[in-house]
Amino acid sequence: MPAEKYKPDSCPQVRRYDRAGILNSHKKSHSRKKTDVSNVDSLVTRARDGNRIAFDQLIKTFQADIYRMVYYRTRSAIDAEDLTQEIFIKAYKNLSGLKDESRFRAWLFRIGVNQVYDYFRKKRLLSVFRPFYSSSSEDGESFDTIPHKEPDALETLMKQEFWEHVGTLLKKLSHMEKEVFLLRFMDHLSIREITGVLKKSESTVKTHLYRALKKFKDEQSLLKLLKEDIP
Amino acid sequence: MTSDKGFHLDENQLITAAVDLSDLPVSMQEHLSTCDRCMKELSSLENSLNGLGQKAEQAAPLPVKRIIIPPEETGVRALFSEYIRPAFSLAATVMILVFALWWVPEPETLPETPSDTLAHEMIEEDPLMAEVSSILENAMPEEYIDISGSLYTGFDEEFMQFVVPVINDGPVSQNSGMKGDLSC
Repeated sequence: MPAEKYKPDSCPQVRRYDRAGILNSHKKSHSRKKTDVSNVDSLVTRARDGNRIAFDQLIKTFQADIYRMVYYRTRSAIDAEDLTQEIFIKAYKNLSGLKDESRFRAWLFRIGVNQVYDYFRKKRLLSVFRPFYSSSSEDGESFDTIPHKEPDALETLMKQEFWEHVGTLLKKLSHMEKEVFLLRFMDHLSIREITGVLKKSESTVKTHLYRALKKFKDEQSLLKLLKEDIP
Repeated sequence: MTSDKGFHLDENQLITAAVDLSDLPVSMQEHLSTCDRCMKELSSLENSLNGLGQKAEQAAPLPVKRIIIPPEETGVRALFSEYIRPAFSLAATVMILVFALWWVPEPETLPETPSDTLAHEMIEEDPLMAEVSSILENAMPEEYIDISGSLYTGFDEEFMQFVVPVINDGPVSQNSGMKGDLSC
């Protein structure tokens, strides 16, 4: 079967396909601590029964993922910390409502995405009352990783340049394209998980992903930057 | 594994493959599995996407704060936060509303609108206007009205004829205007 045979030599890492048949993992995601699915399921079951230790384990497992997901959207480390805390508190309070343990990750991301929407809604409301309130971080133009605060200024500048390129790309995407693109390629969610997070059909998710990828392919400066880093 | 059957995946097909390989027609999938060129292009796109994810992860800061879930409230505290506190909030809101309604100032103290002021002034000026209209009808003071007799209105026509008879200015003779008639 062609899909099974397809193993490009430029990417020697293990390649897995999700239920939709697409590449499920990225090189970096392999270096991350992989969560044992059955272990997560049992942790969710125990946490739902009121086991705090089990929920603490879940926090340990998903905190970095959720934090990054929030950071990619807010570009503010402080806000990302606060929002991550709120997301886990919300998850803890509503855990009894989760029927299927295997969908915990998508469920948690759904809470996270909604919390980020609320954050931007509040920010917009505040900006109405404070006309000079700076809200440029939403557009990905400002960063709270100030160069002089970090030991390696060059590295920080490179990070800043990267986020600027990402910001330029994201500005060209519609709201849905952006969300789907971020969830798929930056948060490493499968298409099936994205359908759970956004409550959209698989075909809708794929359509938005397709459009977003077309725009990504046209973003030559970002592609060039990424190619420089890929050995 | 190199095969070139004269066709290759175009950009749209490559993107479709990057989104979901199974969405490609079977013939294309077969071609992809054997064509080095198409495979290279697809893996280049996928590597870029993988690189984006990797780089984003590297460029994002790490969480510093430890997530703390507030302790679960039990017994009276849970009861308080779940039922008593909302009930108190509701009661306080109702009380403020009732108080606000009760404290509405009396109508007298309310500032008058221009139309109210006008109506009020018109009521005050009514007697004056009545006096003015009576003067317009008859400007003579009461004592003089008595003397002038304008108050005696009971005389009939016969009496007046008697007091002041009508003077006949007409011709005395029937031959008035005729030859030989003498006027007085």
